[in-house]
Amino acid sequence: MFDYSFHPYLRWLRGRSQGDSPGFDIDRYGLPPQTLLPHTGNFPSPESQALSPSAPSTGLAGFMVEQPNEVPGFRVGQQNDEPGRERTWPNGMETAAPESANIAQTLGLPPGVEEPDQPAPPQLPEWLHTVITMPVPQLSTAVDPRTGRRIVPYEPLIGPVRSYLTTNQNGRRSDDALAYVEGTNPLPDPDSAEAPSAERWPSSDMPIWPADINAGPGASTAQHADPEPTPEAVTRNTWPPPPKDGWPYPETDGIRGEVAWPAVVTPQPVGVAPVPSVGSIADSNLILANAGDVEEPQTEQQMPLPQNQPVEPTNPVAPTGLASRPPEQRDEQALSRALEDHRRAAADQIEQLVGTIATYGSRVYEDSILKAKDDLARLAERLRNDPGETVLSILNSFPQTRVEGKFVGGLAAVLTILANAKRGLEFERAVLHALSAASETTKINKNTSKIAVEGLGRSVPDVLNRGIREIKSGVEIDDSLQLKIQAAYAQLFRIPFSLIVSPTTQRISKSVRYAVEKTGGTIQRFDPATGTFTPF
Amino acid sequence: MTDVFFEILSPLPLNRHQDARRLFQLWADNAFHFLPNRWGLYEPLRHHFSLSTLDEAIRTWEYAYHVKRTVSPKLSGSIFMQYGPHRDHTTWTICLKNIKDFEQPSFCQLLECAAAIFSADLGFIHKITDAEVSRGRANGSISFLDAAHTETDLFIVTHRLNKFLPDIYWTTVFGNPYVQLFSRERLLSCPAYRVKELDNGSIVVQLTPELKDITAEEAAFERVRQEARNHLNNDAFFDLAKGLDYPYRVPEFVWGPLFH
Repeated sequence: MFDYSFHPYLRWLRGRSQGDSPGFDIDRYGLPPQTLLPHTGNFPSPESQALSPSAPSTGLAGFMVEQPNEVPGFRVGQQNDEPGRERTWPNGMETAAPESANIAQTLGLPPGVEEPDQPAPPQLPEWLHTVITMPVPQLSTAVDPRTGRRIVPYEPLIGPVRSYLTTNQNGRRSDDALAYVEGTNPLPDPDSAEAPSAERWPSSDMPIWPADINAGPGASTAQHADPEPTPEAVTRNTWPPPPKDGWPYPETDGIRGEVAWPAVVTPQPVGVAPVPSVGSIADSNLILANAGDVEEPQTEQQMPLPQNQPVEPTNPVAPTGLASRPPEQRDEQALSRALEDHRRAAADQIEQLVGTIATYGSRVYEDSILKAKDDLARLAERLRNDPGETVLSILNSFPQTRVEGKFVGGLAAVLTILANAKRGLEFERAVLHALSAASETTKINKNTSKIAVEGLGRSVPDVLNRGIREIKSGVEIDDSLQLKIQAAYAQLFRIPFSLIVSPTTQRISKSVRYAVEKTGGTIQRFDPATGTFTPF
Repeated sequence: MTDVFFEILSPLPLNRHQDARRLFQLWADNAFHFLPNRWGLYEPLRHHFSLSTLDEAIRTWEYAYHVKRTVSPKLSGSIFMQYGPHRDHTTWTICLKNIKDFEQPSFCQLLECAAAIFSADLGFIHKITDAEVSRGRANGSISFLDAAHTETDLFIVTHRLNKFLPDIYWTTVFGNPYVQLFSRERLLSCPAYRVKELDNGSIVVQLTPELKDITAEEAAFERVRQEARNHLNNDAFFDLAKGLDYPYRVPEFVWGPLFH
């Protein structure tokens, strides 16, 4: 099953269904309506709804249409805590027919599906005549809290959902279908869908839902008499288009425009024998949220309408021709909706990921780059304002250092080190100059290549030419890691490792001597004053 | 300042941890009071050394390993293992700072055992005399470690032995290559205080009864030394008169298997 908490799709779904737009909320468990579970937040994934195997014989189980929080419309799923709202539905909405008759005439039937009765030439019944002839309701004064626009029939949701709708192909006006696309859940498994039948849907003049609308499996089983199910669903585009002569439904606090064409998926088996519409409704598990138990007094099922809401006329369009839709087309619809939902989910996830990356990058930038920049800026400012004290404080920050056998600290240590470094560089230049002068063929320059010994490290010998020569001007020369690396490298490649020391060098470690001796190198003393090399 | 030099040159790589354990076990068995208390791969040697933490101490046993003893009897030591594809002797040196701390039985026993166990080609215990410094410096076995030329050091390496035998020392172990070079009979008949053949065929030649004889009677020691050199001399010892480039007779070393 699908876990709501980690699926952005659900966030979108829920937001749409509960909040700002009409739509449908499908119970995840596919339970019969009598098992009215609270909204758990777990929903079947689009794939599972569109492509998963059939639901049990309960067929339409779990599809409860309930009223959204604020707007009239269809919603699948139960919210027991809001019974009153469920009852605010106008009856006409409950009887919204799944499809217009003309669609049934234009679409071919899938093989094995019995040709439904062709509708007779339009002959308006009396109630329909009444509806048509009634005056057009007044324009709604309700304002969509999201858009700030006045809500008018069909209008508000056309724009936002148009780009997502790809399945409205069967004759309904695109405007009608687009009105609730975002608020609807994906189609259930087409295989589990039962073929809708016009008779199964209550006629628009039915004031309330039948009492046994929550009929159990037995009733549903009767609908599965045909073992070969036909994917059939009552989708938004199977609902009849609104009358051209005006809004047929009553305004409910001016939000009639939010009335969505239900995307109720009502799986029906193929070849369902025509049954009376009342019986069909009673047997089905599709329950509109405002549908009450028939055994209850009718007054309890019909919530009192808002005061400014006139008694609505019922939907004058009879649900006919539902079974005439080709199953392939409905499959495509379900699939395309599922794909669209996936696309949305992926887009949401990408958006979240991008946001996370942006947040991380921002933190790195602020914590590292900006901080270092600030530190350097402060240091530069200090140097500009008080260079002497700043330099002194920096020098004093050095730990006490042993220089030439004596512990010196702070500025003295730094100055001594700097002086030694300067002296060392001068001695090194002199040695290189002397070596180059001594070599008739090769000019010996300061080496810049690194040598590496696995397990020890890397080093840059002063001279890397016919062996390794390291120039040292220290007073005492110990077997440091640098010299060890160079000696090991020389040992590995059987090249001599030699030392050139200055006249100030007083002592050489025994280990250094051994290392030099092992490679066949020498320890020479160079006197810059005379430019001569002598054995140490 | 080092007074006593101890060195073993083994053809074995000795670059395995088991070799290290063996070496230090040998050291402990024969000269326990001369065990080091510091170790390191480079100077300064900061790590504490003890047999109880030997595994930790020899965790990095490669190329060169340095030890020292910072309390009396002070000493320093190095083990240069065979490293890389080229073959030369593994050298194990112990340099005792003060001859007063020298325990002849311990060091002699250690030398003989180490020479036998590690199949040493050459080994010695010696104290440098003033008379030999010039000769030693000439052949490269002796060098000064300080600018004042007061601290001498004795160290023999393979590339020297490939040219000549620098000298004969207060106690010298001649391994199999030199036994073959000089002949066993000649070595056993060497005019010296003590000549001993080890189980592995190596021959130990001790010139004088005690090491301190070198300093006590340096001239007498040099005479005995010269006699022994003359007895063994088969154009193998370095001769100042012949110089470095003279083609001395040198043995052919047989290298042990290389373990890596």
